[in-house]
Amino acid sequence: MYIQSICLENVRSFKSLEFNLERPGGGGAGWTVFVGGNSSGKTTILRSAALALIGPDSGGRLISPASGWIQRGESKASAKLSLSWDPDHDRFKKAGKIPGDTFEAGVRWLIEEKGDEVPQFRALGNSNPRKIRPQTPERGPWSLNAYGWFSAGYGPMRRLTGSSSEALRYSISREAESRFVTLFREDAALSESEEWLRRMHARSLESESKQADIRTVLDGVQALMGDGLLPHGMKISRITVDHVFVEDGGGLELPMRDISDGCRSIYATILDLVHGLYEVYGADGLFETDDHGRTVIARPGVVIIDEIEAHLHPSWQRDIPEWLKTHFPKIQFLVSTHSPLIAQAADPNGLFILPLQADDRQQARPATPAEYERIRWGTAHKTILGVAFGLQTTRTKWASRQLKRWQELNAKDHEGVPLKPTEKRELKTLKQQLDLALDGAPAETL
Amino acid sequence: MRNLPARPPLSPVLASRLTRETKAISEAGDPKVEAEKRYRNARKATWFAPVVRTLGKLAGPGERCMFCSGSESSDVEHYRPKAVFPELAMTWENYLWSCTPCNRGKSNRFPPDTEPGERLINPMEEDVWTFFFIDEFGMLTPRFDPAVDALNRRGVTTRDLLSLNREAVRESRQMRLNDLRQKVQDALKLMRRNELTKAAARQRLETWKQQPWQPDVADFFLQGPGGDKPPFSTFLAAL
Repeated sequence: MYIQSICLENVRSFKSLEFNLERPGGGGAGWTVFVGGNSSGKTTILRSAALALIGPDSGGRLISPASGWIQRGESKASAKLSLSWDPDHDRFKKAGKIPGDTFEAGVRWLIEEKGDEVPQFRALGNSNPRKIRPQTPERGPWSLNAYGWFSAGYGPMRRLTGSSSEALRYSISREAESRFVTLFREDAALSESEEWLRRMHARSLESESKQADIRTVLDGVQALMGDGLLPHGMKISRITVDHVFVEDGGGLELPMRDISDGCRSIYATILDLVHGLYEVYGADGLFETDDHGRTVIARPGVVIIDEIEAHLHPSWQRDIPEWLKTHFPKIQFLVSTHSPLIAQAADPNGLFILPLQADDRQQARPATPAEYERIRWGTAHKTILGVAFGLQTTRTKWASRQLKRWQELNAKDHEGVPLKPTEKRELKTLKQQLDLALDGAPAETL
Repeated sequence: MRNLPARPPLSPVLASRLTRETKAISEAGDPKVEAEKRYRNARKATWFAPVVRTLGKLAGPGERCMFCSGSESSDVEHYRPKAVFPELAMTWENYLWSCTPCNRGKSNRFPPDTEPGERLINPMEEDVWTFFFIDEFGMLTPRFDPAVDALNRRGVTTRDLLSLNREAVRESRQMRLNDLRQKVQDALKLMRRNELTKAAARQRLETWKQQPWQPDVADFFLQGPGGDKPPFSTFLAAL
């Protein structure tokens, strides 16, 4: 399953927004990025997509109460996706027509009576709650036991431990919303997946019947996550009943929960992703070897990650998109970011620019082909100064003030007005510093 | 910013169409709403296309922004913002050509009508180099005004409102300056060895002036006051 397009009406700051997410050659796999200022609506887009993916029942539990979603002054809002599906991987429950290549899945918020504070949260296109015939998405992506329809979503706080007890309730349910809980709740952790890995290990020790399957999964996880994901040659070295251990290139072994924040956050996310794919698709043939001998999971689905760069060193920000695309080659990644390095990895038709400020007159829009080419070929410095991020300068305010002071003194000198001795000295110092900082031309060529 | 050719008159048909639009705006109940609507419709209409084309041509090769001369794509811009001066929304003399970042900075601001400050410099009507010079780092610098013992105020307002020294443009200006300087030095070397004729050197000069890369730098150093600095002064004197 892939999202072909997303359409929001009256959802929070979006009066009306429609993005086509299809790749130019068709299909949806790859890296799609949303950039924009703080509170420009990136999270709103990602969360709305998530809600339409999992439907009103699961979604309603994540956003309960459903208030705050409708634009001020309006009484209804909707989030609608056009989904494409693949009969090899996504199956509808029996009864009812099988749709064509694509179908719609949407949710809406509705204030029924004036003065109601909390809107109703329902499926789109279903005015009667006591409906007779289930809608297409209800027999597919929104169904608890239809095969396939993989999707998952992650918020900026991707911790390994420390869920609040309430958040934990969602995480362990293993229903659709468990794969999205961190996208909606900051107090959720991704501890369940490590638990799963240790449980698998424990079962591999005792049960006779499923030994082979379990072994495949454990080996697969180790091979996948050992393939250049973590820095410094870190690999999963050992899984015990109590801990998952990692070993770095120097042979130092630590429990996973004791490694750095960035490593843990990435590890927890990828492990949760593998866990989710396993729950949906099963162990059989889940791990494959690609043309370069790498262990990959080539199953389709949608994965949403809010602020993927959290905790990551720039070099890792640069490399993580490609790692994910290589090891999950059929996943459609929808990510939001404040990092030019993450944005530069966008695939064609995969870069969407939201306004820099909430009150900006600019509308949310896809990058033009020319803008996209500049960004994907560009450097972080150029990207951050360009249309997608819109910074005037990356210098500190202090440095910008110094540049203005230089202009003042230099302009006076340029006009032939005599400088005071102190000004002369200041100008000379500034000139030396600017030559260094701005790669000024050597004096003899001037 | 650079000096631009004089604004040519529009064809009589186009001019009278704009006059009619302006009349309709001034007679409307809410001129601001009417101006917004009429301009929006005009931008989609074929009759307006020659206006856009002519402006782009006035901006010269590469149709660079008339304010910063940078490489971001440019479009029609109202010197006096139409939200403040709706009666000028459909006036040929009020149109300039500017890029998105400059446009964003300017937006509906127009001191001193909208806020304290000095009037923006209009590169189509004023000699830009009486207000600015370009320094060795590519900074478009307001000239010092001895009468007020400070940088000239209109230059400062214009620089700051439009962020004319934002990093991307400043860097590009500095690179263009370094490139031009190198080209001029190379040409001088060849001329000294009699390997480049005056006519061929003049030919080169014309090519450089036409290059669509930070044309403000070429304007200032090849045909503006910057031409009195070596190596440009030596080169220009040798022609």
